[in-house]
Amino acid sequence: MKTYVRNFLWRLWVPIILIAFWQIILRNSTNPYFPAPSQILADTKYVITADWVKTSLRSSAITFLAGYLIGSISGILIGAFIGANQILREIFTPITNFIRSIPSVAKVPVIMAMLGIGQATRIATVAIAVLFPMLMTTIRGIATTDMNVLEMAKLLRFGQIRTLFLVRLPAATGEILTGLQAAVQIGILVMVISEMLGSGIGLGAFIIHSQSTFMIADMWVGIFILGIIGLILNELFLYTERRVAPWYFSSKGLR
Amino acid sequence: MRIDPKFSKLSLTLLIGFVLWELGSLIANVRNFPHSWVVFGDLTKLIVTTTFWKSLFITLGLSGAGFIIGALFACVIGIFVALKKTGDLATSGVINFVRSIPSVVFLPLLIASIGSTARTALILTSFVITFKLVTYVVRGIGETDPILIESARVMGLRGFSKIIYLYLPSTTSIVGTGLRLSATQAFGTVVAAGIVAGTPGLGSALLLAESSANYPRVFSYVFVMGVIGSLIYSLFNRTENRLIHWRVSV
Amino acid sequence: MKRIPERGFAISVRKVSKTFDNENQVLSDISFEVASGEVLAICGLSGVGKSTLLRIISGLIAPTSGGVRINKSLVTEPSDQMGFVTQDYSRSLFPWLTVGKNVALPFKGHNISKAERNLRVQEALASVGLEGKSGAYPWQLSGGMQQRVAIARALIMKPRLLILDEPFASVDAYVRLELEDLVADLVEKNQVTTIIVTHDIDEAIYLADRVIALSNSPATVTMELAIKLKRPRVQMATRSDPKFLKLRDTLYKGLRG
Repeated sequence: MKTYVRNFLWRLWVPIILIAFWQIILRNSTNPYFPAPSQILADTKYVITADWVKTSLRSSAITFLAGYLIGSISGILIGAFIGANQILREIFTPITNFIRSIPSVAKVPVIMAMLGIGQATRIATVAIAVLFPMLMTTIRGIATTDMNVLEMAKLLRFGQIRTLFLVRLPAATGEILTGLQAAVQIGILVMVISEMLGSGIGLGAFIIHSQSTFMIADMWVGIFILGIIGLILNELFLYTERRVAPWYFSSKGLR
Repeated sequence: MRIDPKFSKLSLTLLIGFVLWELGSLIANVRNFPHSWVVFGDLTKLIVTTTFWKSLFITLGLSGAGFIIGALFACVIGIFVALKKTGDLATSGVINFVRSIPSVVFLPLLIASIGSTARTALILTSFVITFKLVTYVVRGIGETDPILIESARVMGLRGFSKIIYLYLPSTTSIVGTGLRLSATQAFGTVVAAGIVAGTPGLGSALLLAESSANYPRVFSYVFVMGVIGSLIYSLFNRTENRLIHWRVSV
Repeated sequence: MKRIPERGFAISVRKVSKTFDNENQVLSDISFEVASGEVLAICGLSGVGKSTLLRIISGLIAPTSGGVRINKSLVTEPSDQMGFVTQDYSRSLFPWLTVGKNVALPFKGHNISKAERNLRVQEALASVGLEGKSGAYPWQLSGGMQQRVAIARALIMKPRLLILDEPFASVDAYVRLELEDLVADLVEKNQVTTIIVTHDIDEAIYLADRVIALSNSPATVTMELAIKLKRPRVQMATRSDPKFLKLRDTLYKGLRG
């Protein structure tokens, strides 16, 4: 525990120095686009009202969580089935690769054109953006299952379905977890973009709205909050993954 | 008559791709999600225009420049951070924080202060790539086999040669993955700047098509982006495999 | 334990040949019999094709020609009354399951109550000297202990055929001796027909009732040796028995082809 706190404090001193640096330089800044940190801090209490939290923050939270869960679970399940079968794999890999190569930003207008504007669309957009990378990662993880383990499954007379869920999926845990972590970042990105391009609710919409109405300090508050949320989500993910698959981490002697 | 299996698999892939596309058209309405043949018809018309090639080159140029600039900065910062023992711990917080912020949120800021020019896209992309690659560089150097480091010391390798002969080859496999991901992200960021902020390139061309509800054109651009994205991916994959043939890719 | 005559399977390998990809012939015309309850050792240099032969006998792959019969029926897939121990325990034990759950794996698909399963898992672990370890994960145990878990898992359903593929090649020398005795003891208690593949001549003679030497490329049976040493076998005493040394000599020559 002590080392954790000590590491945490160590990680703080650089940001603190940077912010202090920034404050000193921009102390008397009249530049409308780069206000001093003190100004941003002062503005925070005007932004984070209960109302704002209830609408903007909550909307973004739902968009992200629903989209992420739907997208990643579907991606893993579909990927598991495709990955276990060589023919399916060879047929679908080029298609999924192609769709995944399309920048997420470009997918958003396409999906909005298909499904309209609104929270459901935003959730669908996040889900689709998360699904394809997870699909590719899962397929790769399943396709590279250790031969020894598969052989043991055959000797134990496991059928195809049992082998898939009891053997191939657990064996692919490492790859899947890495994919899920990257998917958090992708999900946040697409959530923000869909809010910026679509309706007027959510963190992304708030940021762009603030900018267009020249409430720059508000905009900075939004940016910082977004960053902090991203950080928290990442830490949360790291914490959860060790709970869900303790055997994986202890066996690798990690962290 | 025996059909070559590769040919039949390819045709099956194309067939399924076609089916999925038409399904999309079915789910949405055909106006917003045109039939595949309509889009490909438009694509053939698009490819022969000079505006298309101009946008393409601008986007690719910006992506490449942003990628290289970002990589250089990442190397410098990364080497510095990695070689000071406490550097990693202290800076990782900041780096992770900035990495967590989607690049697009800085766009409103940049447009407001600098405008929607190519330079904006370049600055944003370089910034994003720097932060993304730094972790890879630090990790790459950090995971250099300690036995190799000791051997290098015994052989009297110092300073610059140490970097070239010891750290560079060791880091290549980890950094290789980072470079591939960053190249893809550089392209994505330049396109994002175009779509969200209207900076020149394929992104703003797509935005233009969308605002005039020219959906076949929108889909043409999306398709082109997919092709470019795939090419970038396979280019880096191929090079990585060639250069690092002695190591399994991370 | 009451002697049940003919409990173990009788194995009949008739003219088994195996060619991979139409060009690489690994096995040529292999024939031999294993009587019920017998311990047969298949001995040969690395790479000769012993593992391929085992995979054919266990039903994992099909021979190119010839066939294997268990109690007169042709083998087409792995039998559910067969236990298999591989060389690489670290990859055949599922790392995401505890030792207890690993040992209980053969129960999947069978209708056995949870209480009964737990009881048998505890029994199995006790029989290999690992009582109390059912909550541990495989990576927490030493190599020898992991192999014991694999052995426990192979025997938990009271199989009538036990196949071991170079089971002790990856453990260190002293542990190997302990495991050899463990297997000999368990085989005796369970009255199970046993086929063990090993490249170690001493081990083959120590454990087996009969030894088959496999050599040449493609592999053929170059020698069949009956081991008429007293049971129970004792590590130091048996190995210094002049009969042992003579058998060793004969087998060594048989392997040279």
